[in-house]
Amino acid sequence: MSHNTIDQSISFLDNELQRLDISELSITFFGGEPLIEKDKIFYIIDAFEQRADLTVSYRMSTNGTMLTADLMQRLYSKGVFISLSIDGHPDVHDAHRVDAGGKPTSHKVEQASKIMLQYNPATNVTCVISPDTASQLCESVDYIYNLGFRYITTTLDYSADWGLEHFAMLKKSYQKLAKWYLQKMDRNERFYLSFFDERIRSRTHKPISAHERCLIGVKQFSIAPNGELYPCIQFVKTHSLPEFMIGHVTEGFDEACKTHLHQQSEKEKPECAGCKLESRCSKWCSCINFMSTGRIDKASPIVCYNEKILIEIVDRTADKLWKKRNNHFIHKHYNEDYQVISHFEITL
Amino acid sequence: MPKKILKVKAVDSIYNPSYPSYEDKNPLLYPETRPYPFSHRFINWAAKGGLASILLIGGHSASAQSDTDSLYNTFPLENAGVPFVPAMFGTGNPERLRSEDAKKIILQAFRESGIELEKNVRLSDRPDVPLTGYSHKDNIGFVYMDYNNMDYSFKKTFLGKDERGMDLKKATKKWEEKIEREFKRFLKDKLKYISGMDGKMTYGSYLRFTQILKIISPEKKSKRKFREAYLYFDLRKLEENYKGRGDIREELIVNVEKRFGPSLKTFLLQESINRMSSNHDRSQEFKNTIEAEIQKLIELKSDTQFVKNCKTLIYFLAYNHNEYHFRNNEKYQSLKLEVMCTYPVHKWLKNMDKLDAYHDHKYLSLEEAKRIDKDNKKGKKYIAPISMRDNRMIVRSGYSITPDELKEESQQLRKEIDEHPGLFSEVRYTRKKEMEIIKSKYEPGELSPMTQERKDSILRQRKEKLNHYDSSSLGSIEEEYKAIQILTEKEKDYYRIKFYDLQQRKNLWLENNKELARMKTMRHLEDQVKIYIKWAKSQMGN
Repeated sequence: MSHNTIDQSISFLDNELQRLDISELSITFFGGEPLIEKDKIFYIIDAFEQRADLTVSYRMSTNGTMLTADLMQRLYSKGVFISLSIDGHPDVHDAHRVDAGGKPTSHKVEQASKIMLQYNPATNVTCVISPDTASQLCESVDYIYNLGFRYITTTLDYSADWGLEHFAMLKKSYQKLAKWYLQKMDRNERFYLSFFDERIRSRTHKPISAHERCLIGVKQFSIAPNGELYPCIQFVKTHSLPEFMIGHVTEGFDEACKTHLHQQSEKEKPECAGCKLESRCSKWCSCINFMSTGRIDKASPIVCYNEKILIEIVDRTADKLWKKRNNHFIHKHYNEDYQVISHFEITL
Repeated sequence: MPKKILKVKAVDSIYNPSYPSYEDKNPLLYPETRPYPFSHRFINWAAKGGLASILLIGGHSASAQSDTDSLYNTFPLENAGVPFVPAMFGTGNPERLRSEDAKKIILQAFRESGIELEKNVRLSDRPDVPLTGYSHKDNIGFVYMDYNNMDYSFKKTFLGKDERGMDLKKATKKWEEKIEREFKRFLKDKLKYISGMDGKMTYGSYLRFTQILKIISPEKKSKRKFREAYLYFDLRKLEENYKGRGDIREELIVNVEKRFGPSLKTFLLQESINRMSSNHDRSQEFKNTIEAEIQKLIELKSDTQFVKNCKTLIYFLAYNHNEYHFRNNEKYQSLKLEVMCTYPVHKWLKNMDKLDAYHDHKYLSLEEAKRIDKDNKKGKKYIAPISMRDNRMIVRSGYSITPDELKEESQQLRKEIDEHPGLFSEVRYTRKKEMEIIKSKYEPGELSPMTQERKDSILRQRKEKLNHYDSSSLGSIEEEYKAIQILTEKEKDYYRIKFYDLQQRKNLWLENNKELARMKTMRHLEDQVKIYIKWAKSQMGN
């Protein structure tokens, strides 16, 4: 993103905040690798620091290859919450994450892990599972856990070419992971594993209502390097996608397009009609649907297969903990204070 | 093969989990406080920093997770240890609470929780067994499952319900398999096979059999001859067993041979008749009825009908619903007699309803236990299925452990003896030297140039000589080394008394420890029952 576009973006945001009378803003820096443009990141943060009437929080997802202790210190001092991408143990990680020269990056990530955990023991790790790494899921999660991370967000690569054989493999991995989860819970260890904890949450908590979601393009939007506005980062590509563009920083939002996209995403999905898992699955996520099917109004078959396998395994695991009346399980999923207390325990 | 395209498909059947959903009552709101399971690390930190109050976040007191701080169904069937593998006594099974003690403590736990249970209650619907204790008022109780009321389905070795009737085909197959095995042994080493019968040669049947075997050559084509010889042997062996018994069964056995000659069918029928338990003859009426039936059998003209009725008689008399106790159960046996007196023999197996009902009324099946468990979990009826096989019934006395002070005392005494001049140290030294000489004399490394036979022989000698020093032959060793022991009789008595006293105290400690363990097990059971009661009450909304 050029300096000019950055200034235009800041100005656009200022206008929008004033127009909508908003005093809280959350900015997520994304890439590629956002730390390539670290100076620009600090430039943006400095610009918003001058607005006394505005509370801004910053997030960033990094692959860790450019992270140094000094840089981490600077980011930490500015209150940037960083999530690290680790796909698993070195073999798994290096299968997809190599540097520009094609060299593996796992050793750099391990170094970054140490730096990040020093500043924030509650650092989140994003672990992306691809068809070729599905069989290694449990080992990967265990590896990440052993590095010292306690917040692990696992997600599938929805743009990949998944087949039935991969889901058969994934099922075995989930079963293995279930044992891992039980073991950790039995030991009263504090951790968050999105694959399991989110599925349990989808039963112990009311389904997310429409207004609580990201509301594609309404509550959340993304600014592409050329200033184009999109509903979510998944739509920001190296090339323009006019059908999903909801405006430009120089011209503001195209309200008609925004509304159209929102309506499209909220449309009933006939293929899901009558499904007993409907209230618990994330078929509403337009970004995933887009990545998987190229459309936002069509449910992703990858999500469908995954949820069917995963929810049953998670439910059976949760049942085992419930039958034992595992106290940790009960607090984790039924105590509203748990997130705060456990975060405190982890950062201690 | 083209790759199958994934498609979104709605599911109409899913696994129904049992953990509470957002629509159920929040488990944290149960009447009993459920403390937050702070990690030990956190508690230590908070305590060190004088931040104990932080542990009260959310109104819960500080505690690391423990088993007893929760309110839950303490007696789900999956913890009951059933089905189980039956094992004989003396097979290393752990000691468990006696049923009477367990029932007593369970009833006490109910009483202390304000619930008076009526004993041996039979509910109008189900289960069709007396509940050990039940309160109609509180809709709660328990059934104690032990050997007196668990039926055969609780045993893992049970292979399915018996076919009603005797299976001659199965028995034939089994016998043929036995012949197959025996013939293989015979082929492998004829002399060894025959000499294996040496110890039994006093019986005529064995003598005759071995004489026949001697003239059969050990080759595959001799199998038919071997089979015939074996059948003849089996028949004669059986004859030796029953002959001269002078009861009605003998008449029937003789009648079988008259009808079918020396055949396998004869042998199998005779063997079953011979095994017919005399337990059934306990009452004169029973005995008379059996005798009358056997008489009728002997008089039957049709061989087919004879076999059919004979099989029924054998099976019916031996049958006891797989419950060993029923063999001596008067009521059960009188119901059997009723069937025998009411119906002709060919209708007996079709008229066992009363026997079935009696069994079902008295015994709990695993299926019924599962239903009780299901009703319990669903909150239909709170009857705890408490089983003697539950691991919580194990009295963990750790009988092999002695307390440190006694262990120390024992070591001290041992040391004192060891250090006593002329007692064990000299003996030990001398023995060690002697053993070293034997070992070096029969060093295996120096045996390599020898033949295998010679090597084996020398190794055997070495083993025999060293065995002499084995602790099991300590008596003779002591005798051998008496000369170098210089203890006086007075000194010996001193040690004897000390050892005896120490042993007595050890025994006493073990006994007390065992009693303590029993009490501990009972207390734990009491606690578990109380948690169950609280849980059940909370489920009932009390």
